[in-house]
Amino acid sequence: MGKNTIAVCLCLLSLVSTHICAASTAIDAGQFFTNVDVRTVDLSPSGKRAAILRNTESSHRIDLYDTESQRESTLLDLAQFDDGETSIRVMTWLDDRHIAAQFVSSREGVKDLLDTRKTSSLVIIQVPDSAGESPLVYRVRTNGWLVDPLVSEPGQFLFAKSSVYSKVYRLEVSKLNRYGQKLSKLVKVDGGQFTPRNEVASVKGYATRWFVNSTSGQVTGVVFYSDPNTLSLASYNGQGDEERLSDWNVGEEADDEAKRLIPILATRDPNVFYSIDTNEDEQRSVYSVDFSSQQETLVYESRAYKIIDLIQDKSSLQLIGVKVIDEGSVRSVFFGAVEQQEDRFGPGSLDVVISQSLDSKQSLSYREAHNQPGTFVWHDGVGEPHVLGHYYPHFSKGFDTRMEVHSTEVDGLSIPYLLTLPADKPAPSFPLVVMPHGGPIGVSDNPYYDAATQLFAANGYAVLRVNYRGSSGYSQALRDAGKLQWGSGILHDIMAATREVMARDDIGKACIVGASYGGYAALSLILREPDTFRCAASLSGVSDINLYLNHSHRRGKRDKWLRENVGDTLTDYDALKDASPLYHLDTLSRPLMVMHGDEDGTVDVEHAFRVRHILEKYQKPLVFHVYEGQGHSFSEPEKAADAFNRILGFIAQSLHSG
Amino acid sequence: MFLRRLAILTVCCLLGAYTSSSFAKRTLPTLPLLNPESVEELESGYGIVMFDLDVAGKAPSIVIRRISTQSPFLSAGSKLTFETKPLRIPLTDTKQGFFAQRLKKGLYQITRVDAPFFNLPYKLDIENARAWRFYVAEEQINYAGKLVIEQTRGTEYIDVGLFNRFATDLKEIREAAGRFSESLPLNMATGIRDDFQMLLEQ
Repeated sequence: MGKNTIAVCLCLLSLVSTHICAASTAIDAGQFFTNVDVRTVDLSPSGKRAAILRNTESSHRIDLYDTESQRESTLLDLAQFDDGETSIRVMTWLDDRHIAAQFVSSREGVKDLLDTRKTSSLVIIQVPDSAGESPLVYRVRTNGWLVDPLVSEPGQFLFAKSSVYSKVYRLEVSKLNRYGQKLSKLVKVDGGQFTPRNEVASVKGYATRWFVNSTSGQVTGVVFYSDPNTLSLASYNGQGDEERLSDWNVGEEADDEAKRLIPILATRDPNVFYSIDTNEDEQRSVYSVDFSSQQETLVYESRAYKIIDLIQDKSSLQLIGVKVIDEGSVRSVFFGAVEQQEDRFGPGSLDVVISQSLDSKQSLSYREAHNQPGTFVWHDGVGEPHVLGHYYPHFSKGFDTRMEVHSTEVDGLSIPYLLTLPADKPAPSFPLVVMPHGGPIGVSDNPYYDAATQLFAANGYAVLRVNYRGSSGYSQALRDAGKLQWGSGILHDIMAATREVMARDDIGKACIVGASYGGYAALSLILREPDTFRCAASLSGVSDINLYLNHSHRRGKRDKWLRENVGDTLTDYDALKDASPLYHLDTLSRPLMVMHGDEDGTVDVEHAFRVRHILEKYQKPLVFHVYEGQGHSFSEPEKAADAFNRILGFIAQSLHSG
Repeated sequence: MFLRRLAILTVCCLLGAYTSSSFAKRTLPTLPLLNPESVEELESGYGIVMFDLDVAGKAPSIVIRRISTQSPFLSAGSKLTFETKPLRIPLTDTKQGFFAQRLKKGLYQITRVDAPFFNLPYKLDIENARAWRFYVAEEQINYAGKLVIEQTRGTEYIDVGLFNRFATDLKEIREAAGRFSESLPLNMATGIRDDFQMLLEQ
């Protein structure tokens, strides 16, 4: 064999090796979709300690960080403390020695009745004097909830008990029963503290929420059922007199179409409350409501999850975050102080003070950036800030990706978009993943950390996320412009931003990937724009709009909302059919992937199987996968990782061959 | 004396009214669903309705009524009126799988789902809900959908749905139709306009 032949063979061999190596060094999605390590952190009133609530493999753990010695120790490991069926839902300092936590435990309950299987109790954990000692743990046996920690009165707190007459009691920690303590004639329930002597406020009717001035410890307001059909908001003045601010009819005759803004958090203004619309179908919006003038302002919409509580800066009383239910778990989403909905997004990074010492010298911040997952940082205002914990410790250093924020004009609207670019230099260009968000109304891509975006970028893709018309977080005009625009204006916005980005020298071939409405957009645009997109992947995507609108769960006000925002299947069936990608699959000419959960209650798995049947009829290829036992959102880490690994492989193969 | 008689008369009338309405509820005509192989041969004007059931609970049932229309679905603005009295379909013995019965051709409304659980008398009223309709075409096997009543529930809610899984379960639907599939065409019979079957078969 001649030298030239050997050289050619070696060249070919190295090319093949390079290709194999490149294919096998894709960054695994499993690193990006994991449970968070730190769930929340809270600073003690003096600032001497921080309590860190962590996820462990099977349970939760509370660690203590000593800000003076800068040492960390474990206060309570729930896996060792309880039978393993208990989790901690929320946690807060009562004073420098006591932490209050809501324990949620599983129990047998009544067979098949889900809401009898969980029991919730308030637990007070006393920090031991010496490290290494076990903490004393007390439990409030009486049903109710923590109203205020009374941080300026160590060892005491306000607790609400609701019934025909609802009351707030001042309780002492030291008189409570120990956790697991058996009652006897000598051991009274909760130390016998639920007596008139300990009452600080009462109202006739079942109270659902009390408001307290955290500085004075005085009760300032209450939301309660003044009669079985009326929910009322009343304020208390310093003398304990009640003034009714608002009433809501919640009986059978109530109008469940109209907004019902129920106060959740008080502000500095005694008439203004942060409120949630309990008539909203999925309870994703927060309003600031002045109950004296009845003026309301939308201040926040969560991406896709139900809001169950609000998070407030304790000193300014401004809203800084929400607690949402995400696939059965409660998690905190911070977004900084908000007073109005418009232009809420900052420059791509978030730095929110979530807790401060009473003297304001020490603070605890939550930081997040587009290329840096959530981090909790303690600062004493003097030395260097100290990181107490990360959502994802293995990504503590963040990523070197870059994000650009632009907008493009479509139909007189300014359509914002976010372009994330990998850390490496383009060679000569980056392949592009266009990732339209779901919704489409009232949801948006924010400029902070997004796991899917960083996963694609880590694998060498530029990522385009378009806040098309209908998106929240910008202006009401942009949001309203998305009505009835599923198959038209919204897709035009995505295409306008895509074309603008693809005109850049550093951007090459593109694929489109989306979930839910984003899946619909991917299915639609791969058919309409095969010259732009080389492949498409749809996760839980809508393929037939009329089928989506005729789901048996869509009744009453949900059906009405869909008619007004998506379309009327009775009067506009043909137009909605024409906008449905299912009916145009004969024109498919690019690789397509469709994945769906078989227990998707929002977009039924039927959408996916219809696509499969029609493509089989036309003898067109399809990469298809159904996840058993999977609902609409892929928030369970393992399934999300599997789905995105499949998408990564699919895109790589499609771009390589196309 | 007069007042006493008036009081007795009032009580009797009230008792009578209550008793008759309770009696009426208890004695709704019933139509059981059968294994598709056991459905009798069709008469003229009849078709076979087939449900895929996944229901749980003590004594679940649905109530259906035929709608006054010749169309397979109601168009916008059409008034919903019924031409038959309610008919109860008990589901106690037909919890999982495909079950069928012959019914007179027409568009039907499932007006109610009953899913009692001990002292929790769960009832879903869906008299106007378009997604809870099905159409029985004459001399056809009419797939009405997958009816789900979830096993686990809350004290104040229960997950109930009628899902069109024609594409998802097409193979199983065809198999379940059994001997009828040899002679009768299969119809996706959800009682609202849905052009998918037409697209599949054109």
